[in-house]
Amino acid sequence: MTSPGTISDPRVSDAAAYDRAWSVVVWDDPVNLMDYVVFVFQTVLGVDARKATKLMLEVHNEGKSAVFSGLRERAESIAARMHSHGLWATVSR
Amino acid sequence: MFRRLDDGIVIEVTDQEAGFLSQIPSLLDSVGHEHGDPGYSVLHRPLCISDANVDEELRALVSQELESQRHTDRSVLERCLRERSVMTRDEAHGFLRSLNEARLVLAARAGAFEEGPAWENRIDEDPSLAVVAWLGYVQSELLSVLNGDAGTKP
Repeated sequence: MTSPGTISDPRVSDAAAYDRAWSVVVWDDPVNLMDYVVFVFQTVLGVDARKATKLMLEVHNEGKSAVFSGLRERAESIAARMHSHGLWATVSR
Repeated sequence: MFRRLDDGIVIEVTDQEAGFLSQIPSLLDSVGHEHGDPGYSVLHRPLCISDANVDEELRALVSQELESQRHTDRSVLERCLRERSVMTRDEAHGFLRSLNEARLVLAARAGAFEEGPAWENRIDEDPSLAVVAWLGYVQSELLSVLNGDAGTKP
């Protein structure tokens, strides 16, 4: 419920929901070293070693891991940085 | 192989090892010169697989910066090997990325991506895969120093 006198703009919430829907998936490959992938996750995502290791193991065991969900611009930036480190990352919504 | 100093990281390799590593820039420069080079494909993987338009848009957006960074990384590697100079942490990251890029290109050309993890069983048969494995060792050594696990100045 909105407070009296407040008019919600559906376009704003729609736009926010659209932007929030973007995710970054990192895919497994047989060449990148596990410790290197952990390092890249720490560097690019800013997560600690424990979280980075958890994500790396998800990539290794499941074949992929959704490492980020949020604004499109940020998702694109993260995917590009993963590529610059030699990891295969894709964006999707 | 790498040692951490107060002001950065220094590379300590034999002349033979330096000789191998100094071939990385020319290896990477060769990527894409031949049609159908798997090394090119592995360095230019899709950024979006669910929407070709988004993929094209993204590639156009990031490709120039990506190539520029790759060239900078190669220059760092070349300089550090030539001068045996101290690398800053950022330069060490660039060195690491170039090592990884070289591993990916060699592995792709040797069919390792199609083969899966079993490629490691062919290291003794395929010299290029032996180089991939050795570069992985170098990479791990540098990672250890960057992570503070080893190579610390006493």
